[in-house]
Amino acid sequence: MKNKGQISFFEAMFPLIAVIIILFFVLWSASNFVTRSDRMQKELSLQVKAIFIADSMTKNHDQKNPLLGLAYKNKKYKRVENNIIEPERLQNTSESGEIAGVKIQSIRLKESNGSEKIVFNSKTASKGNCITAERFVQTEGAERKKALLLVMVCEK
Amino acid sequence: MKSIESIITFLAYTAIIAFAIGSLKQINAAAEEKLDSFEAKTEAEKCAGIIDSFYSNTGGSFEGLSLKCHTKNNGILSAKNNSTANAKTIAEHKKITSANEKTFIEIETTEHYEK
Repeated sequence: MKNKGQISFFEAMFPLIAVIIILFFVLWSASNFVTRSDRMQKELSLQVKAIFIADSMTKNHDQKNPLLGLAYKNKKYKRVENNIIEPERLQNTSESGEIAGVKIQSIRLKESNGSEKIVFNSKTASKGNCITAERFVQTEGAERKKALLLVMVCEK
Repeated sequence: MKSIESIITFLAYTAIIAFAIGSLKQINAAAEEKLDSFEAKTEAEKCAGIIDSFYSNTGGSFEGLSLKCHTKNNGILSAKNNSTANAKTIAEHKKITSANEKTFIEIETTEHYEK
């Protein structure tokens, strides 16, 4: 510095470079936040889909697609009984489990004695994220039993 | 020489500031578009959720909601400014139409009651 009160261009560059680096980190952090929000929205969408698949399974009666209609149809009263399911209808199903852009990976029933039974398993494993929707049901058979229905739904 | 250095310094800083302002404007525009895309996706998923819940509860037709979406190619489409998003539903046979800010929904499902 030859003259008082005057700084050279290069001396002023350093704080400017520091400001640019700080700005870069702020924008990089904001970009990470946007990517995380995208990911969170996809996970939320998967959760909602899992809940509605389990809802349809326990409230609709569909002979052609038991994965969306497993509820018991009472022939005496001519109506479908919500939350009472017939898991044996899944035994011979040829459905792949792909519904509405997601895949039903497995369906299990957990009884109050702790035993767990797999009533449906997809033939191929999913490579994406998976979510399990749980709800209480009763299984129709010789005797009605309470069970926890676990529906695992995965990204395709 | 001092004046030349001052001029060069001034021009360099002006260029840097102009570049920074231009970049921030681009970032702002991209962020606005992303936000519109996010809102469109949220609206499409909300519509899909309403249709799926209707599918599990006897289906049929319903009027009176105000939804910002419609059916297209067996899916749900929602738009916000120039961004569009789609969502899929469990219900295969569905129809959403809007008129005068009111939405009409029609969903086909399996019968819950035998006649």
